[in-house]
Amino acid sequence: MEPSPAQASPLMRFGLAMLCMAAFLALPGIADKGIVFLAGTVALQMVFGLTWNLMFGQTGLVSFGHASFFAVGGYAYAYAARALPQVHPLLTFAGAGLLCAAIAALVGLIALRRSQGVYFAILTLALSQIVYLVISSSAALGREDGFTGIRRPKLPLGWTTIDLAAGNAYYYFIVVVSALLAGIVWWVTHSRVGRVFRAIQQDPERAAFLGIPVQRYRLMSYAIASGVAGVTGALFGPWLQILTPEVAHWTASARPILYTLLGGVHFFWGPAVGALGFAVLEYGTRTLHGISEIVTGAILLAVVLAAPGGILGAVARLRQRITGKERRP
Amino acid sequence: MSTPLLEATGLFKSYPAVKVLKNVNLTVAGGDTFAIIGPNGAGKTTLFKVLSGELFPDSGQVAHEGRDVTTVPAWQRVRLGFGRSFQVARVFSDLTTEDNVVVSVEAHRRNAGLGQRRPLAWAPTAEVREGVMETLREVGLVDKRRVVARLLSHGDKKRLELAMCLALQPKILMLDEPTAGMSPADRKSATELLAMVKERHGMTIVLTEHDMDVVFGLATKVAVLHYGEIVAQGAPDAVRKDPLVRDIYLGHGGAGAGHA
Amino acid sequence: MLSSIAGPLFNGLFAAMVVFLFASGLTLVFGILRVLNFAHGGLFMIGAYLAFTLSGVTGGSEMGVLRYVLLCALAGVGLGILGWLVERSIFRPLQKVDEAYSLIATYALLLICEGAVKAIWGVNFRSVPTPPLLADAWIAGDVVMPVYAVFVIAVGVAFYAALEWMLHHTQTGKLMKSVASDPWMAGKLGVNVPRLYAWIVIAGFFLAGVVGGLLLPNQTLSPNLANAFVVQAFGALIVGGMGNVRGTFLAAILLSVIDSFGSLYFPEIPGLFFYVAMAIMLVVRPQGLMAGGSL
Repeated sequence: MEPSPAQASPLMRFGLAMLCMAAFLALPGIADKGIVFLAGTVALQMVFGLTWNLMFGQTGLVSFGHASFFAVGGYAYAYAARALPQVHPLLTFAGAGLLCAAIAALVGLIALRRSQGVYFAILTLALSQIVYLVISSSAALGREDGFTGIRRPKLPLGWTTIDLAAGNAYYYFIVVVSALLAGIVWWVTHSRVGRVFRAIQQDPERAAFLGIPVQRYRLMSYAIASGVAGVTGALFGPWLQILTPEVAHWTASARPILYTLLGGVHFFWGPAVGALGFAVLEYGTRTLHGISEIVTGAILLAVVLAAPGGILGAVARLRQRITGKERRP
Repeated sequence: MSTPLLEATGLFKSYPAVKVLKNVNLTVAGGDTFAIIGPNGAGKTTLFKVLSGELFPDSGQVAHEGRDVTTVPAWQRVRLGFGRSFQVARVFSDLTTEDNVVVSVEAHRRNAGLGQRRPLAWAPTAEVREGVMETLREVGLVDKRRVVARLLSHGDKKRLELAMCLALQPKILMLDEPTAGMSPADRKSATELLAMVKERHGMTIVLTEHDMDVVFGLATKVAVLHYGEIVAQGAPDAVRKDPLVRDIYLGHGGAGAGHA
Repeated sequence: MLSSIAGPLFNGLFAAMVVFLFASGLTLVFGILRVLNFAHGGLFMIGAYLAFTLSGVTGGSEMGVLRYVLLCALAGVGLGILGWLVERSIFRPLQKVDEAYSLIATYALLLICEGAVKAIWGVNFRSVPTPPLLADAWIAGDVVMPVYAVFVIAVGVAFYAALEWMLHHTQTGKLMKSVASDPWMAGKLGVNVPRLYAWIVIAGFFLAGVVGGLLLPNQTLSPNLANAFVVQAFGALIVGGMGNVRGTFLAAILLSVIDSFGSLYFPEIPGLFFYVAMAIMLVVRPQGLMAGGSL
């Protein structure tokens, strides 16, 4: 993101991100198991949301099928970890992500050339339904019952081996890897490639007239986002220790969209903030039958109608009001 | 002049109801500032788009340095050295002025095969920043480099778009109505800017324009388009004196100035 | 030999009409307001639940066809009123925001529908028997045709014919077409565009309610019903050509019949071929079956 005047300075934002990570790391010391479990899931969803916004907010691609990559990554890891237990788990995680990136590159090669905007969105929706149906009826993946007994692996690091099944080890592993993945997305966003993505998002034709190969960069964005999403899916399997086809359902693909809108599409950390806000919302209303959806829906509506900048947009406006008008360009 | 830089022969283009271009032939030599003028609806924009590669003609040929580029799409022509500005300036409105040019410089460097020395660094390299500052200085936008482009004035957006084109170091600069919608003062300074740019870089310019002061202030060659046909082509003075042109075109606008 | 074609064809047509009926209201709203309404499934579900409740209120376990049709109409009216409220409070303000945001808003509305159903009717499964007159089946050779399925196909074709007639042969239809192709120009020519938008939303909701009632005997009622047909309906809508009624009708038939035959040869994954065909169509013919004219 550009350091527009209403935003905090880069240093401050980096500090906030570190603070957030520290809070995640400190959590097991102060909260019960249920909360820690939720926090691990949220950490992965935060990154998952960031990857969706790499496509949407940065490159202008709307995907309705992002969860299919989460699912493919998850199932691919679970399957590979069982079939090839001798492979280093880090390689298996990375492999799941690479598989997703490769699939996205292949799909995008055809899909992005032929379709844009709502067509691309609906096409990804169709493809995600195919993934959902294939998983639901594949015996090797456990059909509707799910892929059960996904183990948290032992992590050989050369000088020592960490047993991720012990205590909160896997939770810490998730937090650290999530931070790493968020870092990758951050780097892509702020690099030369990210600048090109933003240019394409704002005016693809103008970008083409600068000699930018628009389709190639769109494909790159789609593949990177899908690859990283695949790794978050891969991490999720051992966390829950079971994967059901629900992770590939189109309603799961709606999640990152909701995170992004709730947090603020124009902000890099928007989807992460949105995922966090969403989790708080759901946790707060979890015991109320039906009310939970109504409250969530109503808040989303309010965001869209009254605060289209999302949570971070509202914060930025507030900062602007406090710091006064002289910082306006 | 041996091979003309840009040559159009026998261009025809029709839309369902109307023939827009009827056997258009023109020759742009290297170093020319070539202005396409004509009354509204004469087919200027269509001709411009055919030359830039946004539209393909129904028949006829567009050649660049002797090579047939008739069906080479616009974005590929950029690599041949075409730079294009739009009638309503198109800039990346949510990026800062500076970043608009950064994207352009980086796109040019990438296409020219000038790699980044540190591929992992996210900030623009020193060379890129240097190029950006030089271009911004040239169009006079250094002070506004941190302003988000959306907030720039109309004239400044045009300047920024010109900067983005210059960053590509084009051999042919294609300008569609470079002073459209400007106040007379802005128009004058834009004309001066273009003259200066031309003098410094010596590239060829192809432009369409309404304003005759701009045209006769800049052009070394003028083509007059009337109902899809070129009725006169040549040096500005010759075209200005052409009785046919005076009759069908300049005659209505009075004294050859102002809007046609 | 004939039955090996007629059977799947019949099943395909039945499925197609279910998708088309579901998509009919969606198509109207998308064709004119350009809002892809995720909430349509939620509205459909509420229509079904409403019809279910009304069938209890009006008493008697014996469900006559006339009473059944009346229930559907009532569910439609109920949803229509809801549509009026939603248009006022949500859809109208949405005209000003970006397309992507309106999509999220309709998704939020879907969540609210789901929540409302859970809060009002609970999460238990419920079902309604098919009206006795429709519960029979006709048998032609090897093909078994449930009367209810024949009824749904007939209603689907009738709805389609009615929509086509209204669009092409009535004053209202001409207004709708003019607004769909250029709302600004239509407004300049004296069409009350906001009022037309409001009526379209009401009509879309009404259709969702009616169809919810109509398909009630075929469905198990649960809060998941909202998600049942949305994706297929979107597929028919887009493959048909962006809110073109005829296109949606043809696309629903094309995709469903392909799926029906596909399932015959590849029964392991029911429903797969619908999406495969949809993806292929989107890639091969991204402008849709009926490109060009809207509605």
